[in-house]
Amino acid sequence: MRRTRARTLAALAVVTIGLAGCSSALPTPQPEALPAVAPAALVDSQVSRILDEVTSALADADALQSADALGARIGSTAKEIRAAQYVQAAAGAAGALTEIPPTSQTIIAPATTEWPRTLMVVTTAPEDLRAPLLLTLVQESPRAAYTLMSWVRLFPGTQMPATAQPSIGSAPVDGASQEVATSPIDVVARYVDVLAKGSDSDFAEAFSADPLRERIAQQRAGWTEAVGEQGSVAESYEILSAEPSSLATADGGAIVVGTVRTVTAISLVDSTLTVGDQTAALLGSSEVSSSLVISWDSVVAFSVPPAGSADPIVVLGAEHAPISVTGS
Amino acid sequence: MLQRALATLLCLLGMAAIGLAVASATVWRPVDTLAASAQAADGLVTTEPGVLDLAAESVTISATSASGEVVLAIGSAEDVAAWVGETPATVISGLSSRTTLASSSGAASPTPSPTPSTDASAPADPSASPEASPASGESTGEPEATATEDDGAADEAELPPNPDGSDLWVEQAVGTREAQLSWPGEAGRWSAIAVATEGGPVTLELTWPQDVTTPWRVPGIIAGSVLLLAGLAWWVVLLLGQHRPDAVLGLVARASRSRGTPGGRRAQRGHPAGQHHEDPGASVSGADPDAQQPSAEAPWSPPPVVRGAEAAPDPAPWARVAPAPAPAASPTAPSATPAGSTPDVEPVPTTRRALREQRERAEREQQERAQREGSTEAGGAPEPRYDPPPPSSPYPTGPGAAAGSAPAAMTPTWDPPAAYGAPNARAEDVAPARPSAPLPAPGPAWSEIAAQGETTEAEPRRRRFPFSRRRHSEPPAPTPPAPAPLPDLPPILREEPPVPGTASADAWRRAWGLPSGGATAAGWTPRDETTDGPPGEGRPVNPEEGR
Repeated sequence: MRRTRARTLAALAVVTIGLAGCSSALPTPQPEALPAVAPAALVDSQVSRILDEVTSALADADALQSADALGARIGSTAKEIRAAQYVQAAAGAAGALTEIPPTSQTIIAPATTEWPRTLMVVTTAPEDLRAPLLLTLVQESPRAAYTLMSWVRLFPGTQMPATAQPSIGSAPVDGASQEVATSPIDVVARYVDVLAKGSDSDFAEAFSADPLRERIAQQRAGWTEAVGEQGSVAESYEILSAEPSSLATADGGAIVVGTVRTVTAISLVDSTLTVGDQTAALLGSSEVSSSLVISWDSVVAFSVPPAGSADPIVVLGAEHAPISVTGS
Repeated sequence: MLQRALATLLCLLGMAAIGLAVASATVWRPVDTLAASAQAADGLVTTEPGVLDLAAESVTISATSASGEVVLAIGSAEDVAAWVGETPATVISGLSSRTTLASSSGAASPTPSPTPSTDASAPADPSASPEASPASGESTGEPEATATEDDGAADEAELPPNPDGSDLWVEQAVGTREAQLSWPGEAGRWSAIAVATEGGPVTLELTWPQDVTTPWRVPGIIAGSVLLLAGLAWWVVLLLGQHRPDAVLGLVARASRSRGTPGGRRAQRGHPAGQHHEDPGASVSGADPDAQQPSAEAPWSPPPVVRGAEAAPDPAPWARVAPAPAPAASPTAPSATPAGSTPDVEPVPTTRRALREQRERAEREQQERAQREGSTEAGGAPEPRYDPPPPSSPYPTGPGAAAGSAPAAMTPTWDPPAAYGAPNARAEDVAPARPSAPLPAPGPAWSEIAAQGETTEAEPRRRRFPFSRRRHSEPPAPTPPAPAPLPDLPPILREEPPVPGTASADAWRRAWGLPSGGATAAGWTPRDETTDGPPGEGRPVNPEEGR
């Protein structure tokens, strides 16, 4: 019996030791190496969540017709334009509110680990069958939320430049980058010069013809004609976006979105001027007798070719909306 | 006693091994999750990249705090680090044990943190508050949190920033005192962040599924089964061995009675193979197979010497005896003579047989006599041939022992070449005895069968197996039957003869310059007998063709 016990115990011991041997050493973290190229900062689910929150914030504010209700998700130019639109809408102007479709057809996600981060989204065509919008959202800091900074209505027939898949992400382009034909800061500055000087500008040929430029020229001509000999019309342009939002395109160029403040100042001499409904809504009255100052926010999106390219800068789209009207 | 003790020990070891193997896969089966946790006193805890997929691709994360709201989120490691900034935080860097996470308060001291945290949180909070209402049902908790943070800058220094709703997070969960997330794992560098928004320590627990293997189960059960079977077989051998003496006595008595039958043996060849086969087969299948295997393994070779005394041989004898018959059967089939086939089967005794035999014995004897007179091969002849089995005596000792009660006796005679001379003589004597023995019970039946097989085989064997002849020739009469060398027979059949003696058989073969190994043969015969026996069909060639 002793033997039996001894053997049994031995067998038990062997089995126990064997089982104990199965337990492996503690696993240790084996993180993936830091990628050489920054990965996309946003995944699809994040983008769609951000868009949802933006559109829901817009919807909430739209329901209240209150710019104060826009919250943190709508900022900067977008907030100013929307506020003006609420005023217009409150005055009974139909279609004053720009419809911002909640769905996207193209996402241009940032590929960066720095801040601020820029996210661009091309929405689907809105229900009014107008052209889709290019939304620009910016996250200023890690703890900030992506905020809708502006939107641009793409011109009819505009072809968006090819961009990287959102899962890969598009690198941000520095404002002074020399990797594109024209640095984003210069692009906006030169465009302003073209707006101001028209075909006389040195850079007139650098930009393809675009509806915004024509429209601003037409408006200016219209005011000038309306005022005639009874006053004067002056228009000034100021760049609001010190650092345009820029993301690289697939071919090495960039999509640049800049904002310009256009101020149309009209002075009248011994006469009155009747303004249109939308302007009147912002002005508070429909007639001025001495002066009228209309401030516009002009958001312009450019497609800048890569460095070394002789192609012109293409204006993809623009939003030109009055944000304030003063006069007396 | 020693053998019994060892056999018992084998059984116990086998059972123990099986039990342990099963236990290793059940009771002792390792937990199929690895869960580790850590507590962050500062209320803000993050993980380093690689921690989330530390032990498995997917992970379940839960964060708990004593009170208030807990926000748990996952974002890219860089984003999480950027979000935390200089806020004091506990960073989890891995496992310190199987249940605890290694953590360190790597962040700067509380003093510097206030400034950054306030600055950063200011923009973050507003975003969080709007999201909160649509995002989760816990609208009550969030407004409060936001309010407190907004209200007092002083409080913010103490309260960690609220990560709720940040666009940086890929996944987020918010709960009161507890939040839980399942992270399936994705390529990239991901970190988790958990914050007790109202302060106080927060506990982060990571649970990974684990692939649990039970490497000891199958091998343990197999090894245990082998041990157990070996022990049981040993016991069977020992138990059978006890009866042996009686069997021997019985055989002697029978032999004296039945000697007269020898002449009938040859006639018996024609015996219906089917009957014999069936009986043997049934009996064999029951218990013999097990016994045979063990016998074949080792102990057997010695037994031959012991023949008389050892009971163990029983199982083995089988194989040994059977083999001889088996070959005979095969020969018969080819030859088309019915007699040959029957003998083969017969060797394997069974209870069924015994019963049947007992019933038929009377008939058989009559028939045999008739057959002797008339044609041996004729259809009716088969049964009579049966009785002749006694002639099987050729393998004297074997049959005799078998007849008694224990097949073991049979084996011994078979195996050792040395025995042959003597055995044969015995066989003759014994053979006659068997017939009488059959009447008693299963034992007799067996002996009869064996005897028959041998007798019938005798002629064919001689032809086919030269070596057998040699043996037999030396020992006069008995040998002739078994030896029947079968040139015609397929290799397998030839091998059959060796079957009988495992170790001893090999030795025997070598002595006689025979080729094949005994082990295979031993295994072979038993199977055939078992399978063939019951249906009568089992041995395709022998029974049917023979008939």
